[in-house]
Amino acid sequence: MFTEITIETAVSRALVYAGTIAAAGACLFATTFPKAARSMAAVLRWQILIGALLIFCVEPIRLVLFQLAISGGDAELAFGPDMRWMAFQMPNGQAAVTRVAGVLLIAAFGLRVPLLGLLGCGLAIGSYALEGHTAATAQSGWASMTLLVHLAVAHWWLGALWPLSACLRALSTDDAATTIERFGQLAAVFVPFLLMAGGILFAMLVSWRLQLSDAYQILVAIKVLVVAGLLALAAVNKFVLTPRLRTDTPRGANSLRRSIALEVGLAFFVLVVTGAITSTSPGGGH
Amino acid sequence: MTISYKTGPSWFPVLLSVALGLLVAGAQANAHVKMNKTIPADGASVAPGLAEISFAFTDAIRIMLVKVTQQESKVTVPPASKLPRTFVTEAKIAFEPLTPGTYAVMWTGVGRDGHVMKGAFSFSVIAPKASLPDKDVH
Repeated sequence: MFTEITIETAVSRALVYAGTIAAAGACLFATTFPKAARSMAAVLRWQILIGALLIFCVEPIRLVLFQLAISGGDAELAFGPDMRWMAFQMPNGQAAVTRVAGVLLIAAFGLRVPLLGLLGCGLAIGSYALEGHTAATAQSGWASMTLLVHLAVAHWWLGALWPLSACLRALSTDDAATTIERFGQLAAVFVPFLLMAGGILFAMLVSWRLQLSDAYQILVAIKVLVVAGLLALAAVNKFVLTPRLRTDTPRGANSLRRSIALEVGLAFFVLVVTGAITSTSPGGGH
Repeated sequence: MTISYKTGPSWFPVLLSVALGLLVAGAQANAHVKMNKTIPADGASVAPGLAEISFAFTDAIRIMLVKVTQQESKVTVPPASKLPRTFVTEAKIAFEPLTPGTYAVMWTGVGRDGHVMKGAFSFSVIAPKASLPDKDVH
């Protein structure tokens, strides 16, 4: 049933997602919380660096794997004159180049020139719409825009987790609590859009037909379950742990840090499942 | 430093809602491309002189590789025509007329979504039956 998925495909895709989430997420955090970002520039720079390194290391490996796949595993043919640049003519190669350009912009200007940083975020996030299932749907324009809403919120949300945890050390208790509370307020507005866009995309890709015996739909169901866990944790953070920050600072901060670390772990699992989903054919295709 | 945040603009979520509302449009299912049909078909036996292999796919694909190998000699038969350089749903690849033997065909391609597809099939080119010598009739 899951014959189309390989571990290296799912994990390499997850690492690419993690890379853009780290880089673009840090930039979006700095744009959303400019005052907090001024005291946390080092943390955000590190997050951008880690994201950029992930992209710069994993994308070339993915392109090599792609070349080998299209040449039937024949390395000589894969890198011979006929096929050498083939990846760059294909949607995934073009998406990879766009992503690398976006992350380069973020790394160079993300924290110094906000407009260029946001342009980099747009390229990095938008690159995903150039490839994959949405790019090949009959109404790819609509599907791509839905995907962009989904991904933009996901990058903003997941990319803010590490900075939020770090702000517990970098900022005063009051400032950290204010920043985390504000994040919670914004997340309560934006995350429903992420969920709606994800639901709409799923419905579009499977032609509004629920069929839980299908590998694609099983993977989506797993993703939904883990995201539900992630949301439950986020709710605990917002309604229990963040208020505790102001009343019982040391224990509240420790609990919040642990909870955010768990959220990061769950988020990476979601990315691996998403990597598997994007390798699987929707609509009962196999 | 004391951080405070203004309440965000109330129109933004509304704008997003409207945009998302517009997005609710049915797109068609998008299963990965599969091979529909080949000529010769998998397992077929054909007469000598076959000089073309045809492919038909369920959706547009950029064919990347068609490798035809004669199983007995393990010799790869090079295509006589170039592979299409665009996304196609059908393609005919020319070869020098194939001599008798069993041939394995391996192909790879990339769908519009960037997914790599691959497949294999085989067919036989049957040697013509030797004609019997005429019998003398007395």
